[in-house]
Amino acid sequence: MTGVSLLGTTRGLTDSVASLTPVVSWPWPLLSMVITVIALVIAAVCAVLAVMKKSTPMVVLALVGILEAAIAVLAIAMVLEWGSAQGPAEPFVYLGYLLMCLATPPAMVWWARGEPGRWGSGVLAVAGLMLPVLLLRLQQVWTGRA
Amino acid sequence: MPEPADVGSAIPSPPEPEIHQIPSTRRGAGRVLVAVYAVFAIAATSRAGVQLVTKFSDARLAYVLSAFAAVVYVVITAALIKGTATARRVATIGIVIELIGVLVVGAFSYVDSAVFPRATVWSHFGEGYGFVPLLLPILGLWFLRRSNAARSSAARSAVR
Repeated sequence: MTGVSLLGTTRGLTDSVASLTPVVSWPWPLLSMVITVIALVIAAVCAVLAVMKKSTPMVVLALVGILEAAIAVLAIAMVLEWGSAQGPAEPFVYLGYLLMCLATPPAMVWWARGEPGRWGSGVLAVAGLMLPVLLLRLQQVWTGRA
Repeated sequence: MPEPADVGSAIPSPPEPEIHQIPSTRRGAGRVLVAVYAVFAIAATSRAGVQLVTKFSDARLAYVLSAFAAVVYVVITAALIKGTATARRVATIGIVIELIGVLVVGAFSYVDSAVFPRATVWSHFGEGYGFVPLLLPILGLWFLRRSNAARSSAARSAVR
């Protein structure tokens, strides 16, 4: 008897949880968190460098390379998932954001290298702040909560 | 240019090297400004493109405004990269339009949310983008003003 009421309560709970969470879940929470953290570290370090009037050291550029590699892994995982599952709610918007995510690190490094010095670091700080936003938009478009 | 180089040694101070000292809109802080404007130009253009093609009938005014904002961002970015005297004027006019746009659309989106269903960059003063759309034109105008002042003083010393 208690079992029935317990089951009823559990079902009620799971139902309410299910209605709170989106229909489509985001399949790569860990990888996107890693990318966000790397991007924010780059943003913070480069912002400090820009304030201190310093150019970007090679270590930071290498970190941008790691960031790009992580985004590439995410992109491949997305394309594979897209082939098997239903994919994003708005495919064209999604592709646009994905391409922007992939293009941002190399484009910003190129633009920053044009002016080595504090402002080059400033450009990379902008890139580091931008990527988490783009990633969040990717997530929203995939789950259909855009 | 071989011709000026031949005569160059005879002329005391040709204005050529001075031109490189004149601050460009894609140098210094302008480097960062162009980067931010380029991001907005690309993001706004692709977003407006998709909106106009796939769901234009849903919210015509909002999507036309989105497209207008995208054009404004593209023009400002291109003008800042070019950086000639004319381009600076174009950039200034573009940024003033951007500022008016973000203020008017921002205000209207609070007054009548039905007209702007949060679908433009400028809705709620760019709240959805961390208020960067509101800060950007202010920073842009400040930078252009400073850069123009530096440019005219550099031009004056080049004449001297």
